[in-house]
Amino acid sequence: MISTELWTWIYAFCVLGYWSQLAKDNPWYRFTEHIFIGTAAAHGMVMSYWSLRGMAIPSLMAGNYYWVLALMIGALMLFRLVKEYKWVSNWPLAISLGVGTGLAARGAIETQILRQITATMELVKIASPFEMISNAIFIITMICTVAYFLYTIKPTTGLSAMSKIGRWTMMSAFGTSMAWLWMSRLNFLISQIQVLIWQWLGIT
Amino acid sequence: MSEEKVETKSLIDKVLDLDPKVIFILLAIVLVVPTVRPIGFPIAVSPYTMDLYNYIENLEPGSLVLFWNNMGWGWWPAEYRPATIALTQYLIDNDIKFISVSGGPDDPLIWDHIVTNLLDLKGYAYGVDYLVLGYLPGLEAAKSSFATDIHALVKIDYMEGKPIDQFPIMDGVNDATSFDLVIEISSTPAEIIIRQFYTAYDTPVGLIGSAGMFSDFLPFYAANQIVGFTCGLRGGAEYEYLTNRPRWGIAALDCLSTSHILMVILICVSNALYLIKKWKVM
Repeated sequence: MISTELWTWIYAFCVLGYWSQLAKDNPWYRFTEHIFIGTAAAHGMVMSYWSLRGMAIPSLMAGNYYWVLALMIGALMLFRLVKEYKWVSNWPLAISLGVGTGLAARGAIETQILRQITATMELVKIASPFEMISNAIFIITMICTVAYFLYTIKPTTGLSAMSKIGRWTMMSAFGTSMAWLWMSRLNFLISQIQVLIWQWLGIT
Repeated sequence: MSEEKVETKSLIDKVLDLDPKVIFILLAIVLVVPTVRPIGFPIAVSPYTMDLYNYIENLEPGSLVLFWNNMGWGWWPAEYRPATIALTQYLIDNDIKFISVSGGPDDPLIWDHIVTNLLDLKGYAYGVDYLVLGYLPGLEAAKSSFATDIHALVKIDYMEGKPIDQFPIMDGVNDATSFDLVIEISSTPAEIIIRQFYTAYDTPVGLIGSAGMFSDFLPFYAANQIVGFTCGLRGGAEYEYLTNRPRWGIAALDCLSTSHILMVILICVSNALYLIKKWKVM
């Protein structure tokens, strides 16, 4: 039986509005698009206010006055709204980027380089024939992919062949990523179809 | 009167110039039919989902799990709902406590929806067995500060707005080392949570991601930097299957299979026709 819930009808109206763009651009699609952007922006603003209230204000009340500095730096972002002084908002951005980069650098070398190299080296071992072949493919393709990025050495025949294998390896990896991304987009469609058929139309 | 030139297209050209709307209609058919009449394709569990399941299976009752969320309402039903619900329900079934903290503005509301509507809480008490903290902006900085000193960063919870020190679940919970497992539900790069929790504090990390994150997660899984992960609807379906609680994930698997079969056919046919056309020209 078709749903009698208002929110399910609003959901169906918005989803079908989005899908209508597949035929051609139209006012129904534009309307639902604006509803989404407006709602998301308003929700983001409210949640940001609540996070400020939940983190900064209680900390200030507890006597952690360094939060004043953090709030002042954050408030500089509002200068983006004034064209003449827009450049001031670059400072908090620069601070955010600097802090982020500094924090990332702390663990990046170990997380993304050393442990990956260690894990690759651990693959050089006696194992079952299938596992040994699999490990050998992994190690060869890894070395060839790294070889592709050796720009400072004059390419010899051997290095050129390795670089070519590296390129093919990367193409395969991009293909895999693309296939997973395709699946991801399908997931969106499936979840919307499920709601429309099961909840809105009541067909189970 | 000028002579009219009538262009005739071969069948190959007609198929290669097919209107995309025909593909949309075909896709709609292969998605709607299994939704109305399920086919029941078999399900195979991936090793990375199995490892995440096994790790949680081996946690002692009373252990504490941290969820770090960055889902968003748009992604939630499609990519995260099956795995998040199946996994959280499994924690409850095994008497494992959990705390949720959010890196995105939508996520506190999603957790409110999860615990209020979607979970069988089986007497789990708020503040004693589970806690929902609010939105912490700042990505890497927020994760780093939280992992270092929770109480210095978070003052009140999201659901009741009370100081977090008042909740029994927070007794002795001060930093990343207080958790037996951290699960990030997100499509942000996995290295951030690994850097700030696993590399810095040796706290085990598991991941629930969107399907598009597979290639990002795999190197960390291969290097044993994460205990396991699930990806998208498929990963959720696998977790539902393992925990024997079939819901949205398993229901959607038939659609995933039929749509992928259609895509493989379309790719094969279009490439074959393209090659035939090229060969004919030569």
